[in-house]
Amino acid sequence: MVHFTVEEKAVITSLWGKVNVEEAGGEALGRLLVVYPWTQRFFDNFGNLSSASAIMGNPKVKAHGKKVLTSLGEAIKNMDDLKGTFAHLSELHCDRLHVDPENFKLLGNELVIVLAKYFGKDFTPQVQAAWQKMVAGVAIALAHKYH
Amino acid sequence: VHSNGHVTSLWGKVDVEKVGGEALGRLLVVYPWTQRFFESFGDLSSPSAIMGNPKVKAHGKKVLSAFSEGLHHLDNLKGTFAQLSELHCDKLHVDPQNFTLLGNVLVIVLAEHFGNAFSPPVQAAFQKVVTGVANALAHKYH
Repeated sequence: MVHFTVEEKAVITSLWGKVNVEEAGGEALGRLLVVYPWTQRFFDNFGNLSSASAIMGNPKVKAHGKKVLTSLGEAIKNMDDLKGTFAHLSELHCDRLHVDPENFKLLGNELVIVLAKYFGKDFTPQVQAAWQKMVAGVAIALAHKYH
Repeated sequence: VHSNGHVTSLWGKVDVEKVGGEALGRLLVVYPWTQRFFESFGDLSSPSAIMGNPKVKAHGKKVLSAFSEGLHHLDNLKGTFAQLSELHCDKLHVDPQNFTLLGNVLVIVLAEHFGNAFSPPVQAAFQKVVTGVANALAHKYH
């Protein structure tokens, strides 16, 4: 189980307060689809994914990115029980969506990159370390119900 | 690995000394077990000690200069890094997973420095290069 110190929780929550969830979500998901093109297979019904600009501008990508990141925002309120928080979504991603759990790590890395891009110097090594722990914990929680 | 111009164009604006020190420093902060390879580097007791440590900065510069050389030989990364690969396996005993970690940290540092200029296509191009370099560095492992 992932344990967050008081400082790590404070760092994560404080940065999260400044994140535009809609924008960051769309960007993180978009970058996943651009940088790791095989992930597009999960979004066949999203329309035009034929180029980087098509992907980044695609309204379904933006909407879904927002949905994913909103869910992460919920988890930030429950950092002591990520497995419980994501149990239902874990089952969904395994049983119905058939998503390889490796992709959760890839998306987590994309989110860290997007945060670094937005926050620049404010995304200090300590802030990065706390967030890498967070996305790793979320990836583990989402993989937890796989069978 | 083929460069489509994105990589060389961005790399021209990179301060190799600064970015090298920052990438290596962040690796040591975010993945503390990597500090074991740098026991002779002195004070690594806190993030600020690590980021300010002159040996970390110097070694980061050395690593990124080698990476920079690699960018001139994207068609033959394995050949370019053959000697360094043997060194990291036979003498330094570094788990090749760490090359992937450092590559990812470098991508994060570039995003941090370049902001929106680190667009998705530029990121994709860089991600391909760091993966190629990590593979090349692991290639001579036995």
